[in-house]
Amino acid sequence: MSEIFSTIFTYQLFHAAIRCSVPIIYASLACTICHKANVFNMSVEGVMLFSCFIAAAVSNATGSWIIAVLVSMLFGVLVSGFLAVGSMKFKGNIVILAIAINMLATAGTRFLMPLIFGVSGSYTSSKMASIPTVSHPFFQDNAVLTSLFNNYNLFELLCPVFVVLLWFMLFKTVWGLRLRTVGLNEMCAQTAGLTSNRYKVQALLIAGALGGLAGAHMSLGYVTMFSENMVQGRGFMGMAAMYFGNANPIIAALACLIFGACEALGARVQLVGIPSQFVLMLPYIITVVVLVIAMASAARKERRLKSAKRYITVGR
Amino acid sequence: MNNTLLQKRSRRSSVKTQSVIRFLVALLFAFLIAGIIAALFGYNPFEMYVNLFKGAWVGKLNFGTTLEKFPTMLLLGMAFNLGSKVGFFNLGLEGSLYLGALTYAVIGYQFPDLPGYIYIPLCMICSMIVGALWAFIPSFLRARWNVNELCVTLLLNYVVTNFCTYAIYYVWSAKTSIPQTPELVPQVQFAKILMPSRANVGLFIALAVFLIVLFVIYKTPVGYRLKTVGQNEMFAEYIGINQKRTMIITVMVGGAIAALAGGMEVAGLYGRFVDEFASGATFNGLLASRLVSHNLLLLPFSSFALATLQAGAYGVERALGISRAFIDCFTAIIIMMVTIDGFYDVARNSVMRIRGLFSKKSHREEAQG
Repeated sequence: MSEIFSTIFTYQLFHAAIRCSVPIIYASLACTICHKANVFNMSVEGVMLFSCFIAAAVSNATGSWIIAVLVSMLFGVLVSGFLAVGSMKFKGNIVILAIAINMLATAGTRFLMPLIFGVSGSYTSSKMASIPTVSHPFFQDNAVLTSLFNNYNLFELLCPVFVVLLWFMLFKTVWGLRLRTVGLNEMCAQTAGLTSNRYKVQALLIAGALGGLAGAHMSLGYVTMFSENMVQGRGFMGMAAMYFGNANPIIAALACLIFGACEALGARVQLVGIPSQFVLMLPYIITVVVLVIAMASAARKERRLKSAKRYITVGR
Repeated sequence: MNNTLLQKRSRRSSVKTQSVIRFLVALLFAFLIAGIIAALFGYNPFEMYVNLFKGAWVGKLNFGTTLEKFPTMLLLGMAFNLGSKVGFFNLGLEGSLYLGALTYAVIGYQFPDLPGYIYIPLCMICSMIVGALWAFIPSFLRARWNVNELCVTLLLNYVVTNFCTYAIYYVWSAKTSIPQTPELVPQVQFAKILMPSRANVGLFIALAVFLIVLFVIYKTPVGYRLKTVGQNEMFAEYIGINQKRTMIITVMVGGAIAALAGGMEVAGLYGRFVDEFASGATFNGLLASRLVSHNLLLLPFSSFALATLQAGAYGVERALGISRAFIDCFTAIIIMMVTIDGFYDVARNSVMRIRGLFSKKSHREEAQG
């Protein structure tokens, strides 16, 4: 038993967990900003898959990861822009549009793959420039320290910065306050003179850029390859983490770390011969349970508030 | 001036014809866009569309393939439709479907001596019960604590797929190289109707279920109750309908129907549970229901159209070498165009405005003259 434990829980798990959780964190940031503006954005999954593909293709063609990341972010913005126009100007149902985008991403990348890379299934090449990793010579002598602190790629290191930046933007700036106002009560925001659709579109576009970044990170940083359907529900996991953290970027990011740890554990547990499926199920079950607890406590609070109000009116 | 003109126009053509026109325009645009994309990649769009329909309808095998896809599509569309009638967006159909299929596959090889006329209903009822129980979870959470059903159902799908993978690897494995359950005993497999294809008597079961649901929704008080709950919860409560219970039961029936679809796929097409045989099932149901704007009566047409697209995709691939994925893209484009059919209104209004300008001008000219 202890042997099994010592093979599963090693110091390398830390690095693996961080690696697994970073794409989910970016996705959860995209979901968070949309949730704050009260836009139900399910398209992050599709945006991620599309931009995985675009990043891989551009990086393969130009050999530059910077251009690849920028192009895929731009593409994410475009797709989100389509979602914004379709749902706000043309009054389409945003959930169905997002699902259509997800379908288009799955089918479209599968269609384009043989045409652009000449193979189907998965593609990798030495021509693909991956996002550089950063390592500090200070830790290099010690295997444990190297595993813990070295060899993270650029966007893994930038991830906390993005999380804090988004938190700051949402909670400490005027723009964030207005965005949250639009999300909380649209009518109220309009009465105060805000153009609510503008903030919603802004939220969607930023989410598109973040989704594009997440995708580029997946195909150039997390691994250096593109394979069919490689996102595998990470966009939805990001949404789950957002609900877990009640749309607070920092708590959502912590939730993503739990998800990433479960994913890393699942891969390790399989090595020992324990079915990995149960560990892989865990994040989803945890999220649903947390969601229920959060909603149940909110409902109880509301009920209390209501009874208190009644008491006040009766008292008067 | 402008306003009255608009009102007059909108009064002239009824709402129903408007929606039909809007739908057709959206469809036309989808065909156009997909054709242009196909042309950009160097394929002949006309040839593609001809082959699409040929591959779905002409010939025993081709038409059989369409008929093989049709019942699943119809049942899933119905399951989604029922949920949307009470305002519940059930994205967990895939979970119900997989669990129903697994139940059917597992029970279906346990008793080799049981006669078919007892065995098939037993399997079907068990799978429907499992599917309904699975649908109970999100609907109860939504009714009790108002938990967002979209998120819960989406997440629980992953739980089910993982569970099914585990089950067919470790518990009910056929011990073959491909992860699957042992084959069903012959008496629970459905009889095939168009032999070279896999079309089977499940088609008639699906149609029967459809007729029953149609009858219940349109001809009984239950249907009225559902509609009231979906349209106005407060009013439903006011006239004494238990809104929460109605919602839970409806969603559970939807789950049971989705599970039946899964069981029928196992019994009719595969003869066993194969890993991840129906990924994207939920979205197919959603599409079938949305294409006819959640109108239950028209559901067979939309499911037949979607089945046509899926079956025709094989024909296109065989004849022209266009990857099947392109037809999936086409489906996605159709649903996008149908969803944003508001563009029709926007275009129409701007045309009206331009006309209004002209008519104003003519009035002015008349006044001057």
